[in-house]
Amino acid sequence: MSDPLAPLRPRFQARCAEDLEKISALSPDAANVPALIEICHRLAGVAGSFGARGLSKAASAVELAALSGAWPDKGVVSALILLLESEARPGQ
Amino acid sequence: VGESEQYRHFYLFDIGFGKTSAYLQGDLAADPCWRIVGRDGDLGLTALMDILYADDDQDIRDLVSFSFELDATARVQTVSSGDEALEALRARSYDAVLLDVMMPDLDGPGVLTRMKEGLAPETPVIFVTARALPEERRRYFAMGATDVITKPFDPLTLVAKVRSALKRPG
Repeated sequence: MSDPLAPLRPRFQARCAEDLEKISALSPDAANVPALIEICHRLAGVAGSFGARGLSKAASAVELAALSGAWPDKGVVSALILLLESEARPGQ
Repeated sequence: VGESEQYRHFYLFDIGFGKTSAYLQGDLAADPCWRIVGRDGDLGLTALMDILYADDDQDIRDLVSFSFELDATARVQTVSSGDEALEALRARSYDAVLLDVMMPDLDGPGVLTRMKEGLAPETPVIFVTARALPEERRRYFAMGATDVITKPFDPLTLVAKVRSALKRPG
């Protein structure tokens, strides 16, 4: 079955690569939590619409954890980074 | 094609379509928001659903445009900020406005407030948000929102969801 969203997918992959770069560039401290929340909030919204439900949930989990004001546990962020890598570089 | 007292331009389309023939008359030059839409061999007049959508995320705007391209009876104009939404609303009216909640500067609730204050008080507003906790939903409805659509949305069913929300009694 053909993918109706195929024309939009390259842009989504590029976005995942950009978000991966942005999150990786943030040092894990409280001052960067608002930036992390913004990236993850947007990503959670768009990823699920592209069928990347795992990525959407992982982004929501990081956003939710970050809403406390502290940098989230390493495991939560690492899970998101792994999924972002997988979306940004499919087939690798 | 001719003219009448009621309409500047009078169009008569006689369309053979299976067992049905139908015609459409009206001033299409002044009101282009009507189309003939075939449904199961029948023809009916369906009003074009005319939507304004505001979201600061380009990928979401692309997805929304894609969703509306799938439906010939709906169209969308997308803008990237709350201020642009107000500008669009000053220029003309829409059947409904869809607003992202979190936008820099003027956010979705801010746009709704300005609309209710007089810019477009009767135009239905639907919030589209990734954060729709029950207390937030209650707040949006208390502000006068018609509905809240949760992100992520399915781009293949978004237009149907909007249409359904607008048909529900307020």
